[in-house]
Amino acid sequence: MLSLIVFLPLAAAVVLAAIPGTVAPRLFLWSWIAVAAVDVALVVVAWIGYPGGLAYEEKLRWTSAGVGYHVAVDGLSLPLVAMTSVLFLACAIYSLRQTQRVKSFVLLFLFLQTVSVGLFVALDLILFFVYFDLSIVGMYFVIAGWGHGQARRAALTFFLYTFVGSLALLLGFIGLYLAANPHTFDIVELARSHPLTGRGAYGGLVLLAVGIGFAVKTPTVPFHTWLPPAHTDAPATGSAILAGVLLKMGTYGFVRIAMPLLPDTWRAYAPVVVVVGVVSVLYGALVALAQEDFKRMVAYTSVNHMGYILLAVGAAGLVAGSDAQARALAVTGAVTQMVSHGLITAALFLLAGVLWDRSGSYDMGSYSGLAGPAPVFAGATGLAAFSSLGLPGFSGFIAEFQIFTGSLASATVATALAVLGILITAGLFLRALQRLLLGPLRIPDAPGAARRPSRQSDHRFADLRRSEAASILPLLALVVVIGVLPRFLLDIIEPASTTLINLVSR
Amino acid sequence: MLAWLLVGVPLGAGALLACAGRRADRAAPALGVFAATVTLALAIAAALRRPEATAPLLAGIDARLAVDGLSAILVVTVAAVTLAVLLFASGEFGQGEARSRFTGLMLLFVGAMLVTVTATGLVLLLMGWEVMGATSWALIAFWWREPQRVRAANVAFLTTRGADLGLYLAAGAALAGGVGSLTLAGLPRATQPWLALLTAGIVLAAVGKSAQLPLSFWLSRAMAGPSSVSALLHSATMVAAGAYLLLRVQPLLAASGWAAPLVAWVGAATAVALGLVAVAQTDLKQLLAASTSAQVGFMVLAAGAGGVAAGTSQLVAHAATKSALFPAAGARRHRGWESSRHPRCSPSSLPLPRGGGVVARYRYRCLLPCAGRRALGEWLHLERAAQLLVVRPTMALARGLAAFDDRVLHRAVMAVPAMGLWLARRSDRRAEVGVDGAVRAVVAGARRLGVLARRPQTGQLHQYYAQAAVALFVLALLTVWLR
Repeated sequence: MLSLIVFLPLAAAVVLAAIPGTVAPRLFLWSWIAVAAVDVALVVVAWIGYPGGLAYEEKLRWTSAGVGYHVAVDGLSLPLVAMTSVLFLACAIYSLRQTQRVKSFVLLFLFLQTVSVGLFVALDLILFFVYFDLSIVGMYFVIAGWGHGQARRAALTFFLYTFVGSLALLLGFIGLYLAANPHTFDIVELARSHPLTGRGAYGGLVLLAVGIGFAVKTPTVPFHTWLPPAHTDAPATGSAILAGVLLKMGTYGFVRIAMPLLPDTWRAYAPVVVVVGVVSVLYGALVALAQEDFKRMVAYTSVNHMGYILLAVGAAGLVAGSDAQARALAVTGAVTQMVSHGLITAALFLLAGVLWDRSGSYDMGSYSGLAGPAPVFAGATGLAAFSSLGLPGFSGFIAEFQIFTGSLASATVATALAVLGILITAGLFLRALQRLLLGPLRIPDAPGAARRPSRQSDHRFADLRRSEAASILPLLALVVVIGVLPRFLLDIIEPASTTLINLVSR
Repeated sequence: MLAWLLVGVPLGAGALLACAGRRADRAAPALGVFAATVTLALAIAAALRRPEATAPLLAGIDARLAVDGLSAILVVTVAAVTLAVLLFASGEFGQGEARSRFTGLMLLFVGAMLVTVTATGLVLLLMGWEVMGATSWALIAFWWREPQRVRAANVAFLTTRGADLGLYLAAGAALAGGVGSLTLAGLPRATQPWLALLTAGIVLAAVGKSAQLPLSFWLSRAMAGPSSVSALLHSATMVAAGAYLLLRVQPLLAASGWAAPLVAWVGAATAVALGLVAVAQTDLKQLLAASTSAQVGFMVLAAGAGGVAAGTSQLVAHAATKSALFPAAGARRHRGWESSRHPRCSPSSLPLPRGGGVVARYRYRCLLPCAGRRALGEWLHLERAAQLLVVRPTMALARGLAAFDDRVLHRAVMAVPAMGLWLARRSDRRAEVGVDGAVRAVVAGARRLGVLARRPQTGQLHQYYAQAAVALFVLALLTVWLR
């Protein structure tokens, strides 16, 4: 079942590769949509049939060196698998208007989908690492091939930076492998034996290596500087996948690998994680507040939102002074935040893509009053902005409320500071809404377009087209559903966070 | 079920209307009045039947709605005022205005208020509380083409949200203090020091929402919205929510020891100071706004002093008066009476449009002496203080950090590959040249040796004999020397 979900897009890519690129591009686009929809349907089936615990397990011995093909889902990974497949479907629909080298674009995204879903179900460190690195390769080509502005430079920065991070990760994995007896890369076995408990500096070094690897990918301050250029110059769908899915690989790594495999080291260094989290929250929010470029601003809010996750997983490691209910609440909030941020930020980046498509600029100062010619676009942007600033009724609140409430007992000062983050994000999003959407109408001239009298330009900013609406609005609908009726999601996550809390407090 | 319907009808109808777009404009006022009527009927039924409803929300934290004595009074007040305001609003907007969006947002706003006053736990209360703030933003900025109205909405939302952070902290403190279910009734049982943090958070949130000192200024800016929005926001919702919360958690204020007197003093100070501010206003709507703040001060004072019944009756009486006054003020503007003087200073024969307005205004005319206190006209300069102390430093810090991010952090990271490239070029120039030169020297040496090796091959026999003789002589010498 899981292997089918993972490899269906890749298989489709192999089949499509055999068809010459001169055939109508719509064939590729519609087959991509069909494959992504089937994948979503399969995930829904898996979700409905999910029995709890580690489910849909598949295990094959691969090499004698302790590397195996081991996949399964639990409450930490199933929501992320679902979120990933939904985002790829949204990107497929959004790309219906793609005209540039369609075949390779579709093949690349199918490849990326296999890699992304594969990472979330992997239960073997080497398998995890392979997917982790391949995702970087895939995203490099997306940014370099279909980006704009200084795309190649941004793509290269992204590639080198995250690749160096993944090398640190590999070192940490090897450290874990060598410590285990018998040597193994299997995550479940390593979690059971947690071989580095009581090994002092060795455990600290392994956590440092693994932590840097994940911190670069997440990204946290100060390892975030690859993110803004990569987002600004990436195509809209690339940004959506980068922010929605690839960033989660870092945060997911913390809850899947760093916490359960290195429990006592995690507890020892949890204050460091909390501090990094709070600094990311405040720094990301403040720098976002000062941005003039809409897409760059959204990119920095990702740093802010990922900071909440670090705060929560750090607070979950501070065992003294808090009860298990609070810590489990924080972890549940962190996983909910991964799903919620994926949906909201993908929607925001796709909306930013609409801005670029119409006028070729993300500069907030050159727009004004878009709510007039494009009310649906304005409404969707407003909803996405309010959900991103954590308004109740949207998924962000469910996540952030649990994070704050669960973290306050163990990390009081840090949480009190981090709460300021939601005020700053409120300020920056209101400012952005005011500048982009409200006030008298002003639209920058599209590049290459002849300067026309302003009266005609009133109708130049077209509202959301059908493919754009069909990709963005369902994401926002999901955000509202999670915000109003979160039980269907929390029922899956909560048992897994209780398990994780027990593993960490060993 | 009744409890869910009570909040579900306005929220559902509001969400539908707000999303419907311009198509629903024609039908929106009638639909809004219908939804408000249904809500009022449900509210009366709820006040009589006292329903309860529970649904699971978070782990160990349920979402529970219940209508008790205090809530019963509030739901009926809120629903009745809403119906009256929507009836007035159906005449306020012209054909071209987005009436569907307006009606939808008003219903959402009221639905959120109903959630706030029926919630029995902090989570649901916070949800209603914040949604109310956000919809008030959208309502104040209803005429969004005019930047100053949007700015006013931003000020109102950011100020109240800043105070709302207190509720987030209160929720965390309640959990840490042992009240795992986060119910309002259980809050006084929290252990110290969490009880203090919990109380402080709730008081902060209530002070912000109720526009008490020192956060009163947002109410002045909130006047930028349509009159019917002001009528609703100033009477039974929004500002009333803060007072309601303090009345609701009165046992907590008493348990904390310090909070009850503090709240009482804040309420008393606001009642006096904002009363003076109201007297000094020259704009009728501003006068009403300041007087709202002052009147709510009495409710806050009552909550601090333990007079829940007194505070509640003040809340209901004020809601009834204010909801009538704002439409009256709005109607005056519509008729071109852009009032730059307050009623007492203007000609005494002002034709107020509705009977209720006259009665309501009369009450204030009795209370207010006509004293133009310009010093108080600017709302005690509270907004400017907030600008100077909070907004500007934050923006400066944000710009500074953004510059640091671009110019220092990003460059520092980019310096690593740059350094690599520099090293590569340097080794290309220095080391590479050296190695290359050594190889070339070996080649040149070999070539020269080759040339030298060809010298003896002259082809003349006597020279070969001479060379052989020299070689034998050298060999002999070598043999002698080695032995």
